[in-house]
Amino acid sequence: MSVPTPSAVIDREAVTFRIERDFNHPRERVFRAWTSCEHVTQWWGPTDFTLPVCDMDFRPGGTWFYGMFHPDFGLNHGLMEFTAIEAPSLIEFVDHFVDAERTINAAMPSSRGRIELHDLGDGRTRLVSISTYQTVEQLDQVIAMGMEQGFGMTLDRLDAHLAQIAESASAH
Amino acid sequence: MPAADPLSATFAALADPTRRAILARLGQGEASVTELAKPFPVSLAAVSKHLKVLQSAGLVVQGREAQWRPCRLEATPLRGASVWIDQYREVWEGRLDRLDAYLDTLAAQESDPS
Repeated sequence: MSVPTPSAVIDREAVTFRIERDFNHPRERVFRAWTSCEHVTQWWGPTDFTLPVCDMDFRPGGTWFYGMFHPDFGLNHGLMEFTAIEAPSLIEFVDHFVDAERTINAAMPSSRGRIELHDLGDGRTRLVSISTYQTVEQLDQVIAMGMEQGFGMTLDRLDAHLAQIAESASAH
Repeated sequence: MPAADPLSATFAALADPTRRAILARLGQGEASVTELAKPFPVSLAAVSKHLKVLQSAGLVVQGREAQWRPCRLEATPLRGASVWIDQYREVWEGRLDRLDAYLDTLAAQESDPS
C-alpha cells in the first residue's frame, strides 16, 4: 500500500498534490491557453461548470477573478494572484476563496499553485501542476467544504478503490 | 499533533515518511513492533511513538491475543483521505482533458487564420 494515488504527495510540513499531463502541442500554445479569459473560459471548469464571470490581468502581481457556475451549486467565486509568470514555462499563483465583491474569505485557506510547462521536443509539452496547502488543518477545511458541495465525487469508484486497499491489507 | 476530527488525524498521521512506510509494511500483513522497527534507522522507542500516532488515528490496531501483540492495518480511516484525493484528481483530470481539446481548437485556428 502507498498513499492512495501516485499523483498526491503528502509531506511533513505541507500537503502537496501533483498531477502531470503530456500534450501533443508546442509549449507556446499550451502557455497561451492560460493567458486570457477568451482562452480559460473554454476549459477551466470544473466539469459541468461554466465560467460566466472572468476578469484576468495576466502578469506577475496581476489577478484573475472568476465565477464558476453549476446549476446545482450556484455561482462560486475565486481570486488568483499571479506571483510569478515566465513565458512559456512557468505560472505561479495563490488561489483565494472570495465573495462576489472580491473580498477574500479569511476563514478559508488559500492554496499555492505552480504550473510548469516542459518542452519534450517534437512539438510536445509536459504540464506539471503542483498545489500546496500549508497545513493538514487547512486541507481539512477544504475537504469539508468540497464534500458539502459534492464536487465531482464518484463514490462507486471510491468504493472499488477502498475494497482494493482492504484486500491488500487482509492478504497475508 | 492534536487533531480535532478523524480526517485531520488521518492526514497528520500520513504526513510522515516513516509512518507511511510502516503502513506499507502492514499492508503486506501483521507484524510485531520489533519486526516493524527492523528496516528503520531509528530506535524501537521512536517506532513505538509513530505507532501510537497511527493507532490514535485509527489506522493501526494492535492485537492483545498473542505475547508479541501483532500490529494490523485498519484501512477505514483512509476513506476520507481517499475521497479528497479522488476529488482533487478528478477536477484536474477533467480540466486537462478540456485543455487538450481546446489546444486542438487553437491549432486548427492557427492553421486556418481566416
